[in-house]
Amino acid sequence: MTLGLDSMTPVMFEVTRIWREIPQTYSLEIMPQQNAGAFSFYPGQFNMLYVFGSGEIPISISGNPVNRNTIIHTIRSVGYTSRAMTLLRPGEPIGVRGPFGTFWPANEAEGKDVLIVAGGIGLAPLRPLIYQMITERDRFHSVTLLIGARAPDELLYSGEFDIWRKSGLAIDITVDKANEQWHGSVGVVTKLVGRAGIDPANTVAYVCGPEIMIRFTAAECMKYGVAADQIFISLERSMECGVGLCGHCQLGPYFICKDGPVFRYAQAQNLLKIREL
Amino acid sequence: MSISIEILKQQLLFRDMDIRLVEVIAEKAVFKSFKAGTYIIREGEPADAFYIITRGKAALEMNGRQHTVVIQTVDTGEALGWSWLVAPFEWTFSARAAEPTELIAIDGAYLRKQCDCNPLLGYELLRRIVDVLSSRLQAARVQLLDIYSPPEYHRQNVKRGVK
Repeated sequence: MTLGLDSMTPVMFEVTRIWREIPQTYSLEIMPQQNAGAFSFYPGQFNMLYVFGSGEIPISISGNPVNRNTIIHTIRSVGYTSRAMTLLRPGEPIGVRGPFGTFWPANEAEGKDVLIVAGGIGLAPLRPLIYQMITERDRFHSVTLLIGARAPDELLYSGEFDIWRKSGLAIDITVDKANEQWHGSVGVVTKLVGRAGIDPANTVAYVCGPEIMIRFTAAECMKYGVAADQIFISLERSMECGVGLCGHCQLGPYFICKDGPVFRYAQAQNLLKIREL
Repeated sequence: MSISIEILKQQLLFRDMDIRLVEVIAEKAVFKSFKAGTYIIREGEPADAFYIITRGKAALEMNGRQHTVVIQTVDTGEALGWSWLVAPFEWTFSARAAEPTELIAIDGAYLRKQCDCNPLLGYELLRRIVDVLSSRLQAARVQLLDIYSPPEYHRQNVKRGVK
């Protein structure tokens, strides 16, 4: 955290904008209430957001890492605190601790093909990486973004896809259920891996989505020859303290908040097969 | 228009297949093209051909209770339809060209007969088709899991204690 307080004390921010992205999902733009200095983060990191009177939850940062004046988070309204967060209005306060956790290692992909695979709201933690890839596009060979969603109206950030394409990203999209207006692919996101046109031996993959989607996608990448230690995934567990003290987010030998949320698939693949974890 | 052995060999399904077997398949293989929106095959009609998409995309449709549902799209390089191999040799779904689409169409009755007469061809072809079927079955299973749905996400997170 660059705001000067210890990691257990929330810093006061205020909501500057909130908007609906897709059903049940909103983006929240916040900025420090006082002139507390710039906020910097690495793509893939998260903040603990505190809605006073409701609770505190971990939310990935989904905005552009270049922008240090405001922070954007994308929130799906699925529980008491997240719902309260989506009901905040401009000017209202929110507590922030962070940024926490490991990040998407863009350096690993220098000179290589990049495969970014997002399932549903998993695109949110990947968007800062996409911004970084666009800004530093010359550092990478091909950059391909594969997106899977339940339905066309559940495609997150769809208004930005054309800009991303014009900025040098190849984008392939599939949905599980199509309506009559949809003329794209129908089927699971794993199917897109085979036609991504990557050189598997020279590819770094970044995968985020529900855990089951991560497992199937990583398996598909490996089927085509992408090495397990060249696949990076982002995991979720019940995070409370954010600094590896409370143990709520333990996954085998790891604390997701401190050792993750971004892991090499080679690190986590066996742990993900254990139902009890 | 008949199809050369070289073009068939370029297809993923026939790659590395013995040239003599490809020659047999090429005997009754022709190109077909369909405009966007037109039906390539229709549910319930005789399954008379085995298709491989060489350009474009087909949407597989099944008739639901009140409307037609697109269950999957099949893309360039992929095989389309195996009902020509399974009695009663009727299509179990429809396929519509999602965009201008070109396909290799191989006579289904001819292929069945050749497979009956030539076990090596039968085995090689079935082995490759089973691989396609296995991938499609796995994809359908994953699709059934509804892996992006908010309720699933909610259940997972409630279990994990996320508020």
